[in-house]
Amino acid sequence: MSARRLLLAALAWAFSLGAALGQGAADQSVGGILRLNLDDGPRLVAGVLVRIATPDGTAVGEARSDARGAWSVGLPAAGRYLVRLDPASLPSDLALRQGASGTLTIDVGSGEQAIVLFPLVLQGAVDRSDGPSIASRVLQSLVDGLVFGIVLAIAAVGLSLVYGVTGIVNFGHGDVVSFGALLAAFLNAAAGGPQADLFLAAAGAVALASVLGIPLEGLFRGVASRARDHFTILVFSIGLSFVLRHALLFVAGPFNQAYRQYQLQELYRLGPVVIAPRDLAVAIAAVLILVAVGFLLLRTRPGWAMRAVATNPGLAEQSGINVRRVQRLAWVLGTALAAAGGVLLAVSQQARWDIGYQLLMFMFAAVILGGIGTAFGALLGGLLIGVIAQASTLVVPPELKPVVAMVVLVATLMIRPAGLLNRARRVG
Amino acid sequence: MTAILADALRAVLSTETAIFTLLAISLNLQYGYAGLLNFGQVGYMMVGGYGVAITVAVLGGPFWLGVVVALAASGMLSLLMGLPTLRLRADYFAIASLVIAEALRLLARSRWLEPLTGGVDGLTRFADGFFRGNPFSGSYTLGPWRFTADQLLVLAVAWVAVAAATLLVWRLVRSPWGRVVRAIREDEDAARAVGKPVFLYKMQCLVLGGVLSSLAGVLLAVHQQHVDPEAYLPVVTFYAYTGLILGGAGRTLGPVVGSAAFWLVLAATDSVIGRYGADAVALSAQQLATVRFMLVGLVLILLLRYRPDGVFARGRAA
Repeated sequence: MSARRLLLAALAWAFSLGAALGQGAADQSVGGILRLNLDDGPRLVAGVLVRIATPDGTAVGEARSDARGAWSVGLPAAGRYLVRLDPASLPSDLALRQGASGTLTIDVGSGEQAIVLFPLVLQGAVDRSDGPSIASRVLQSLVDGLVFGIVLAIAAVGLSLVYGVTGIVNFGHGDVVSFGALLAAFLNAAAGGPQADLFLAAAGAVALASVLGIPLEGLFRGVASRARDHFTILVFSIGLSFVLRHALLFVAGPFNQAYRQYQLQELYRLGPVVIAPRDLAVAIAAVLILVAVGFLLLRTRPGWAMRAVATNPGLAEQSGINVRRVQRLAWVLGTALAAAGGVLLAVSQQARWDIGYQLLMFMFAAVILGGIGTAFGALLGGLLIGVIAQASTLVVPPELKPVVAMVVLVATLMIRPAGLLNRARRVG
Repeated sequence: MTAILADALRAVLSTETAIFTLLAISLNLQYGYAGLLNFGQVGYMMVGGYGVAITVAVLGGPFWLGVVVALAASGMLSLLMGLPTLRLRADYFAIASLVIAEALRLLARSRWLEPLTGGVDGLTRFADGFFRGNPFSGSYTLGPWRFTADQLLVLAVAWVAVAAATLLVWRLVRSPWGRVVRAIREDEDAARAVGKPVFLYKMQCLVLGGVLSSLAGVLLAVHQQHVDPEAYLPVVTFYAYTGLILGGAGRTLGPVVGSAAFWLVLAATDSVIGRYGADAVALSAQQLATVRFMLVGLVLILLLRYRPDGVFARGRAA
């Protein structure tokens, strides 16, 4: 058994431990896993001493982390405890993260299996002397950015398609993304669900979500028929997104939902960059979907009809195209793409009720950068935004990625509001 | 029953309602009259609140300077949102305003700006300058309600601000300036064709509405004596839209009546649930909050679907 395999087995065990801790026996305990994430995977830390005491200093128990980095101490009663990591017992190359306390206070409820984590870092990691070189970090962020960008592109193409054909900016598009992701999680991993294979679950989620396009089209048509102006439709769309998002929160709860397969994998190493097989699979699936959409738009009659309606609805109608039907098709295709993007995103990020809403800012940036209403612009914009946002994490903290997307969006509007692929023309 | 009524009334007359009404008035100016779809209204509140908080609590300036900074910041935000988008179709401004407001919130809570904004914890202790020279003292009892002097001061200032803003908007939209603004909403090309500088008028509406929202933000910060990023979620903007559309956009009293009705219904529902027990509906507090958000959204979309001019509209608004 190679060392890496051992590591993976340990990680799998850690996950099952986590699950067991979650379900739990009747008695309360406190435990955790001592690990740190290195560039080439997690490292589990064995032999570290953890002491538990009551707030007044009475010792309750102690434990040493085992080969898998896990430790656990049973507690006599519910209440407040101090958990102290003995720094002297850490391996010499490891330390607590600067500013992190080695003593943590925790309130344990009756029957609760509390989990305590200590942030560990490599000793002297700050000088990055043994970290990856700048060039390889740039390459790595390029690869990560392309994977994110191509998934983003799928969802953004859907947004742009609906806009191009119907003239409606659907602010609820992000919530359709979440809907797809959660639906797949239900089909794939939910306790009461069908436990379908991830591939089947994804296909099922996309198919089911695409049906949502029909009532959406009807709703927006109803509002448009009554609305005094275009503004009303936009406010309607944001209200709808609000309802949809909170319906998802109500049904699915505020938790992350992971898919069953593809949780733990060895990383492929290509020269200086690493990629998880699941990300590679996601990227390949995304490329296939995009090729299929491109084929549909460029080589099939419904695709021609959609592009015709997008270019000039009046003329399209005059030449015998059933505009209403084409618009419904655009809604169905748009929601299907949103759901597909959601599933692919959730394979690496886990499904959550607001995963798509978080993506919305990136989608808007992508669509506007590429040229709103153009499917291929959204594709290009998605890729660019993915790479730019990921590359920005080399300089700014990752939580500010949406801010970077915002900056690109504003810059596009200042310099070339029609976007990269639209002909430069008045859009006002 | 009377208890529920008292709860609801209290909510309607509260400082929060006044602040939301101010927000709805500013939205009315932008959306109702000028046709600016500002989905990032809450961003203005945020720069207002943080403008005061940072100036006073971090930089040690006086309170009045904080208000000046807050208003200046809202002007800058108007430029950021307006310059790239106001010459374009309405959709672009809607998108940009939503994205910019959310980006600002993420910036405020980032570790990067933590020395300035206090990060996730936010800032406190900046409102003393506001309460210095409070003409009220002691505590006051009004029917079933009791206020401390400080609470009463914020309450009074907030409602005076609502009255002043209503009056201001009422005067403005009936002026020649207001006629141009309404013409732009109805037909932008026509307004441009007769030589009106459309961009300039839109920008003025954006700045003016932004100043009002920013003031609402200052008041909220003073009222809570605390600012943190989670107070400026996009939800706030949706609430303001719901209130505005409930009362009727493009009417002077629309936002006032609408906000009052909105908070009345919301508080009454909360009160019923609070008194007759959340157990009766078998939902956790978190689920209840979610249901509440869903209902607000539902009200908004049903209004837009069936009564786009507000519940009190007789025919079409002018």
